Amino acid sequence: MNRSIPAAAGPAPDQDVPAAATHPLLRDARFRHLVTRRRRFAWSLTAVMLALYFAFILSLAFSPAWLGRPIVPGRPTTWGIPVGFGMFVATFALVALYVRRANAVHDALVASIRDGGAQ
Amino acid sequence: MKRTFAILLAATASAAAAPAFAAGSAPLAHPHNPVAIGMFVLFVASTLVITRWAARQNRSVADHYAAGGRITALQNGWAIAGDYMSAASLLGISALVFTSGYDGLIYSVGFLASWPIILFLIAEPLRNLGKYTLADVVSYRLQPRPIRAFAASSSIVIVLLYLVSQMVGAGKLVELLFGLDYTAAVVIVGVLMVVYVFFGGMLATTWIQIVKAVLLLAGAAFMAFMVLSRFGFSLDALFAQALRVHPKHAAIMRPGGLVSDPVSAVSLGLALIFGTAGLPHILMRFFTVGDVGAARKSILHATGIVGAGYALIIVIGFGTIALVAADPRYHEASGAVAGGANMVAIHLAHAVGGNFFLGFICAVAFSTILAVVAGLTLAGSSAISHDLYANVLRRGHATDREEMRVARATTLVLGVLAIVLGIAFEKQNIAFIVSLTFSIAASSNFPVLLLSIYWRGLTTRGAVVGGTIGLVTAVTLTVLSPTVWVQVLGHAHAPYPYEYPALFSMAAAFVAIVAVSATDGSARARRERARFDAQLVACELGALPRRGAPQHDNHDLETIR
Repeated sequence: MNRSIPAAAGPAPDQDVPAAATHPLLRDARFRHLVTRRRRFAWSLTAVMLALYFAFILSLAFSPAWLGRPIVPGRPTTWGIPVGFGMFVATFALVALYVRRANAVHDALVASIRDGGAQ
Repeated sequence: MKRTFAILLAATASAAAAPAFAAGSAPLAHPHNPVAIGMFVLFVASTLVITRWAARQNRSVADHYAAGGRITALQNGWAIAGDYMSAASLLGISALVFTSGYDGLIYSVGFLASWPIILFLIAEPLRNLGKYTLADVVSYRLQPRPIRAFAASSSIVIVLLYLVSQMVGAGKLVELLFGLDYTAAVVIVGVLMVVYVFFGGMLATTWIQIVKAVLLLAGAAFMAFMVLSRFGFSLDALFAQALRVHPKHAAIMRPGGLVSDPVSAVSLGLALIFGTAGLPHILMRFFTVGDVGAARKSILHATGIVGAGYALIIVIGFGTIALVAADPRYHEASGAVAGGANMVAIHLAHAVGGNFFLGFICAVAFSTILAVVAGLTLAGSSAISHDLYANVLRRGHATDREEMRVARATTLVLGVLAIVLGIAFEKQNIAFIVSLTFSIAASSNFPVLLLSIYWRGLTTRGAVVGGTIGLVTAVTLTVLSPTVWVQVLGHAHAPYPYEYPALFSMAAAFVAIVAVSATDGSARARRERARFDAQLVACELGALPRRGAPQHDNHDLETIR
């Protein structure tokens, strides 16, 4: 009863738990590979998004002057404009990156486990 | 940061606080702009056609709640974008840019940033573990009755609050745009939303949302194009003109006082980013598509559409400064903008597209509210009929027929409730309600959902106690904040000095959930932790054939549609 999945480690179930609660797939190396890989990717991207967003918000809170400087002296457009629109682009890019990886890699792993390892 | 969140989250809501419209000023609200009314009637007529068509397609409970899972990724992407881009986005963000320039951009960034988080952490597990509601997911391994009772109650609180803000906003907007009586407007909205949901279910709600989102984006694109065409398609030239006209001059190109207080800024950011992941009417959209891949792609489409929409709205916002702020046609004798700042985008529509386009934008703004309230009503009625009735009260033994009957009955009840509350809150300053909604979602539904998916140690006791603490903390801190305690209740000093509660209420929820779960030594808790294994498999792979059962026979997700 001691196998654990890295991303889902937790206290081992007690002995009084019915055996039906465990699943043979949890010992499957491919399944564990999928879980680790997908979750590491998802949480890393989450961290990147949160870091970007809070860096943006906190730089607005603590040093607004930096984003308020004109790009070309004398012209109205400030650095804040490309940074702000850049946040839109970065957000979309992260989403696109995830979808791309999920379509190309995760789905194939899931399909191979479902087809071959379900029993 | 006062008022701003509300202006932006719901122009509609803050319209309640906007100065009363003085009849007689130029193109706005000419109590009966025939083009606007014609466009609006046309929109309503086409939504009724959609509803009739959808009603003929719908045959089962799965059809009613989730359009039978037959919505495509692209359609769902538009529908999600529609749910997200309410009238608040168009009117509220452009109003925010109009008054403070750059600050308007900051909010749109926060709104969009919630989508990657939902995609990375929530969408796929939700789709794999659930059927119609987020309670399906959290009850996968926890005690179904208490956890569903909790999740449904917190969803209903969120839906009702959101609904009130939309109803009040709708009433004000219609009063302003079409010169119709407030009460009549609220009743019309209430009746239409009930008709959509009662007869057309999720299929009608989705298609109405799609139509509206396309109209909204097309309208915004046209407006932004016309604005830019006046400035030789140079943003720099547009900014230069805006800067000349605006009383704050160069300050509008710099971050202003909006994010000056870091605690409120972080609190707001947390509510925006994580609140969306706890909104029941957004989460239920992931059950309307065929599989996990489609759920994922629908977020890609939605992020692209919403991102493009916000970019256009920022251009529109600067356009309102450049073209509306200095034009006496759009001002009252006192110098104030006719109809209040929330109406600047409407004025801009007139400035760049004349009466016809003005009518179009008015109709789109109103149709936006109709589509959003329909989605909210459906989410609320599924929480009551699917979670409370079928699974808590009847312990999962209700037939589809019975569940459907209750779903429709609750739709009627929610419609009546929304109308009554909308009328009751007409004179109230309800600007805080939308931010409260996001804060509650981020502090109750979201922590429970996230931990139920990723943390083996979660137990029913921890989820119910912690989630409730999050909800109560969010409500209490909002009441004690300056926005409500001082501005609404009229006290001198607010016990809670910040504008938004999410930083503290989310922390309280997470700490309470973890502490109560970790100290829960009951046999039930041990069983729940042990069932995490099975949940993990389903969460990663979707519903698998059960051991010993024939492969084709047990695809839970397939059999329901």
